[in-house]
Amino acid sequence: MRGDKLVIDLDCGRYALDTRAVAGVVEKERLPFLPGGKGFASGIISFRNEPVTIIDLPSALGDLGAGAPSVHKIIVLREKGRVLGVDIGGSEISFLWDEDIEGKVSGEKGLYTSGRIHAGSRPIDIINWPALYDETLRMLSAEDHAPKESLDSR
Amino acid sequence: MDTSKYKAIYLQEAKAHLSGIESGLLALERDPSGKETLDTLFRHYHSIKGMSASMGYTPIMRLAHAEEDLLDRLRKGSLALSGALISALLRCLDLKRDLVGKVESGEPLDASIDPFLEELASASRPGQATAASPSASLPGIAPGPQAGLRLSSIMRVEGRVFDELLATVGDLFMVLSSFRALTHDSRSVEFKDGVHLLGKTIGTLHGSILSARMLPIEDLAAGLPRIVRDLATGSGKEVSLYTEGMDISLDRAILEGLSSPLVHIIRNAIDHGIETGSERIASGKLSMGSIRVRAHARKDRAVIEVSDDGRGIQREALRRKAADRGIPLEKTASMPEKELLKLVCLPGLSTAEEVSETSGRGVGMDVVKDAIEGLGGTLEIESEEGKGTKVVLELPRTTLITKALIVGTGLERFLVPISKIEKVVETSTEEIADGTFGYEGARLPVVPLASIFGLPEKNGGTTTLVLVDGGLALGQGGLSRLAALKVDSFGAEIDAYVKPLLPPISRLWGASGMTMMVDGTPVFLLDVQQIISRAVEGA
Repeated sequence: MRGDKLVIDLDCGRYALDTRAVAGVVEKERLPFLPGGKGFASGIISFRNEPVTIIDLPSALGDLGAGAPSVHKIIVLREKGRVLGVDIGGSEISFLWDEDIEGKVSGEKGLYTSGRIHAGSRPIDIINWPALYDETLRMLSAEDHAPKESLDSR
Repeated sequence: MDTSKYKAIYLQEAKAHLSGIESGLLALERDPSGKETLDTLFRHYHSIKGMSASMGYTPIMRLAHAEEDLLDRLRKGSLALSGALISALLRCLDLKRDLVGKVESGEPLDASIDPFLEELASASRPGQATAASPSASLPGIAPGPQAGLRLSSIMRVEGRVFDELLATVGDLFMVLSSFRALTHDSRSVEFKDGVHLLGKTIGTLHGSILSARMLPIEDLAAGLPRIVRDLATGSGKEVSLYTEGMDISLDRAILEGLSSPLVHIIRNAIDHGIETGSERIASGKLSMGSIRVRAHARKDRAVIEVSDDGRGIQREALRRKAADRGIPLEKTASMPEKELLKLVCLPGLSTAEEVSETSGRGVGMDVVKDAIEGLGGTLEIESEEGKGTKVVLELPRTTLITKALIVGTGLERFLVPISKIEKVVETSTEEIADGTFGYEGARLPVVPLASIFGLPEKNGGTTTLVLVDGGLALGQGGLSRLAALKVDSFGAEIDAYVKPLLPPISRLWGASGMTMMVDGTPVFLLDVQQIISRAVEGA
C-alpha cells in the first residue's frame, strides 16, 4: 500500500489510486455507448488507439445518488495487461507522496478498497482497482447479463 | 496428387536442412567424435529424403538416401570418417543445392547423380582413392565450392509480422474510408482519382498479405484420420472419416484457433455419439460409424459441418441434466429446439452417461463455443435422436478487415457486417406498426436496435430497416432466417479493421468486435445473430 497516490475528492468521500497504475487522465464531454453495459460499467473510450472500458466510480463505490456528470474526467489505469478507465465526473484530483503517508496507512478493507490513509481532515480509502476490474468483467459477461429486451416490449 | 502448392514449403524446409547439413559437416570435420552432430546430420538427411520422396524429386531423394546410409554407418562405427568422405559429402551438398535451385526455378531434374553416388561409395571404401570430382560430367550442374554467399529467396517470417502488417493495412483502410467520405463533397477530379488509386493500392496490399496468410482447411484436416483412428480404437468402435471441401482457405490464425474445437467435437462424436458396433447393428445401422467434415463458403465466411451418424442428443437426458443445474423443466420443455440443443454448451453440462479419458465431463463444449465465438464465428447444433448430430461452425475466412455498414441510432453509431445484410430499406412507421415487415411474401420480425440497447428511439414518419440474416434461430432457411433491424439511419459501407473484444468486454453482449474510427471514436461491430436471437426468443 506504499507508493505515491493520486487522490480523488468525490462527494461520497476521498479515495486514492496508486500512481504506478495510472496511464493517463483524459476528459470527455460524452462517453460512447457500451452495448450490453450493466451496473457501473458506463462506456468505452479510445486511449492511445486502444479501447478502454469505463466505469462510473461513485456508482461503483455505492454513491447511487450521484447524477450523470456533465463532464467525464477519466483516469486510465493499466497494469499486467489489465486496462480500466475510472470516470470521476468533474471531481478534483491531487497527489499524496509516499513520504507523506508513511505511518498513516491502516488495513481497513471494503468491497473495492484495500486500506485507509489517515492524512488530513478526512480519511482516504485506497481503491482496489483490480477488484473493480474483476467485477466489471463479471458484469459484462454476455451469458448472464444480456438485456432482457424483447420484441413485445416495444 | 498435386504437390505444387507445397513447393514453397518444401523449398523453405529443404534450404533450412541444407544449411544445417553444411554446418554439421564442417563441425564433424573439426570434431569427428561429435555424436550429437552425427545424429543431427542424420536427421537432416532423413528429412530431405522424406520430403523429396513425397514431392517426387527423385534425384534429391536418392542422393539423400545414399548419404543417410553413410551417416548411419558412421553412427554405428562400421565406417571411419575421412577427409575424402567429408569432401564427397560437401560436393553432394552443393549438388543438392543446385537441384533445389532447379526445383525453385521450375527446371527439370534431369541430371544424372550417379557420378556423385560413385564418389560417395569410393570415399567410403578404406584405402580407395577418391574418385575425381564428378561435377564436370553433368550438364547444367556446377557443384563445387560456392563462388559467393547466397541468400534464400524464401524468407521465414514470424506470424506476428503479418499480424502487424495487417493491422497497419487496417489503419490504412480507416483512413481511406474518411478520404472516400470527403470525395462525396469534393469537385476535384484529381482528388477523386487519387483516392480511387489509393483504394486500389491498399486493396492490392491487403490481398497480398491475406493470401500469404491463407491456408487450406486440408492442412488442418490432414491430421484428422489419425485422430479418428486412435480415438475409435481407444473406444473399441469402428469409425470412418469422410471429408469434403477441404480446399477452402482460411486465415492461418483462424485455422489455428479451429484446431482444438474441431478435435473436441470429433472426440465427442466418437466417445458419446457413435454407438458400439453391436448397438449399431441392433438399431439397424452399419456396424461402422461415420464422421463427415464438410466445408463450404457462404459469402465471405466458411461453414464447417461436423456430423456423425450416432445416437444423437437425447432430449430427455439433456432436460434432466439442465434441471440438475437449476434450469427448470418447464423452461426447457418450452424451449425452441435450437436453444435446447445449445444447452450442451453450458459449462459443466454433458448428457454423456460415461466419462471417457477425453470427454463426458461437461468440460469442453462451452470452451468450444467460446473459442469459435472468439474467432468471430458461430456454433449451431442440429441433432436427431437415433440418427446423429451435426455441429455447424460458421467462421470468417479472414481476420480483422470486415466490410461493414455504419448504422446510427440516436447519437450512437454501430457497424453491421455486410455479410449479414440482405437489403436496406426505408419504410413508413405504419408499415411496421404490427412489429413485422412484409418482404417478398414473408412477414419479418422488426427488431428495434434502440430499445434492444435501451437507447432513446427516434419517432418519425419513416424508418430505416436493415434486413439481416438472423441465423438459424429464426427458422430452417430461406426468407425465414431474415429479420428487420430498425435503426435511425445508415451511412457508408467501410472496410473496418475490427479488433477483437478483450477483457473486460471479451464477452460483451450484442457485439463481436470493435473498430476505431478515424476520429478515434470506438464503434462496435454488432453481433447480429445474438441480437436477433434474443429479441425473437423473448417475443
